[in-house]
Amino acid sequence: MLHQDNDIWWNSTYDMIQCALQLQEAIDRYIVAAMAESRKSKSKAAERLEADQLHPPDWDELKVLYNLLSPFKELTIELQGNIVGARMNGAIFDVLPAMDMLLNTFEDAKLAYKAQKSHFASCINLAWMKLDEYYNLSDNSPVYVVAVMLDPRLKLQYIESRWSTRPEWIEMAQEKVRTMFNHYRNKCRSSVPLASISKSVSISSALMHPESTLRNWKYGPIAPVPHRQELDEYSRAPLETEDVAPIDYWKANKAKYPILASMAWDILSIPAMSSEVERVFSGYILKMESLTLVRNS
Amino acid sequence: MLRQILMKWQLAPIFNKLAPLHVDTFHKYLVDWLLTDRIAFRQVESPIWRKFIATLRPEAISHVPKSGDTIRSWAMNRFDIACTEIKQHLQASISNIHISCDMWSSPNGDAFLGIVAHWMDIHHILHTALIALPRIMGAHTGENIAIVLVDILEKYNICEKLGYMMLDNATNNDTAVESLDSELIWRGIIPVISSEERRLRCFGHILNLVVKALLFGKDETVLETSKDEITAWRKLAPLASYTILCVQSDHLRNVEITST
Repeated sequence: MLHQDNDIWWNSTYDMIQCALQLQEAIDRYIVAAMAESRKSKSKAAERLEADQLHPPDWDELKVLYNLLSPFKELTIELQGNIVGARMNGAIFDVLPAMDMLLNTFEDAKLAYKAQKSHFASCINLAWMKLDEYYNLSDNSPVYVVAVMLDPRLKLQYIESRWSTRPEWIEMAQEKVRTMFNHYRNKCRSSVPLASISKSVSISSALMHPESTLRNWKYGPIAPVPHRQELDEYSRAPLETEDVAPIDYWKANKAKYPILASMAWDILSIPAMSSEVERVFSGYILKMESLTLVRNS
Repeated sequence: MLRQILMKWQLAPIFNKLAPLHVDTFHKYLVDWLLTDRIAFRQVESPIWRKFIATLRPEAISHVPKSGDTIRSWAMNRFDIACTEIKQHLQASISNIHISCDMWSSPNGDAFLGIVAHWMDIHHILHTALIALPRIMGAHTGENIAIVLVDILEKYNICEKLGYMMLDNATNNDTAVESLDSELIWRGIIPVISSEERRLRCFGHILNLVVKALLFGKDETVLETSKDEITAWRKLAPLASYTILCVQSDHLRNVEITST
């Protein structure tokens, strides 16, 4: 069955080309046969078919397009989420690296096609410009940089090495991380005393063992004091080399880095896409039967 | 006692069949079936269907409501219970609650706003849930969307826990996030995250726009900057040819058969 692209499905053009390439031989044979037939019957279809017949250079071009589009397909699948487990929401920490990767691919491809004087150079340039536009917009929120920082396999070292030619970008990224960290530090400081008191001493036990209240207070567990060094310490610690999911890392290290961990819960729970809403609508909700329910709620 | 006697006489199977009907379970599965299989609520009014149920279990039929309206109110009741449950989950989250939403129009022209919440629970497990699907009345402006959103956030009591918003690139989403801030302030909640930082763009939509730029380069602003590029995308003729071929000849559908 041949696929045709459409405006609604992401990557439908990619799927269409993939399908065409798989059936290349059959399509060619079919068109030749169809042309012969319509010529026999002297219908005008022959002309139209001739104009649209795919010649070997056309097929080559489709192959190039296919290769250009394949990273998009891959990224869509990888980041749309809903995978059960640690990465259910699609990984927000992958967005910035994914954009970097695409921009880099485009730049290389642009040079290669420019050398060949191929019109693909302009196409790629258009795509590059579009992506760059959104890349710049992603700067409006610190979320993307902070999410990368919270990935223990990358930290800010990713940004420092990948953006090494843009020192001002690195500075901005560091500033974003510090601002958010300071905000969470202040929040932790104001909430820690309350939490530790209510946890360590329950009223009934204080009444029954009056002496233990003091003992609890003196020897009880002290909440790790949030300090300025937490961020520096984390940044200095060597990168995690094993393929650990960021959420699992923070689960294991929340006692060591309490402020960063509380940041991690907030940031790593952000989905990379709004695909979940799309799923709702492409699903069953808007069936007529359910409408009475929706309308009155 | 009776059971023991019956067991002794190896009449247990018959005895089990005659076990009293568990009315609550029966009602639960009845509503579950109607909702999940998208059966019209009026189904319970159908005489032939009632006969079918009566054959299976004569006494069950007295527990099937006579009107679809009863099913509707049961379903609404179920909806309220589910809302309370989600509310408790949201309250117990250890993370901010992030929202992604999108507007869709139903075939009869009504616009619905799907609102999905994303959060992390106390066991560090990520959750995603559709928390509301309100109908949007009037123009689909950002201001309108914001008012509806804040109503829902208040209903679940999560205004203060509101995190980031993952939305597509539509400009009314920009204004929605901005108006959301002022709406929250209006209702006495001071947002910690600025609207500029809160507004995130769905990466899938970005990828799609980039691919469109690559294939068709229709974006006027881009074309203005470099006139050579206007002709560039037109050169992607093979793609166009192939699409036309697809449209023109339905016979192509048979290709697979002939090729195998």
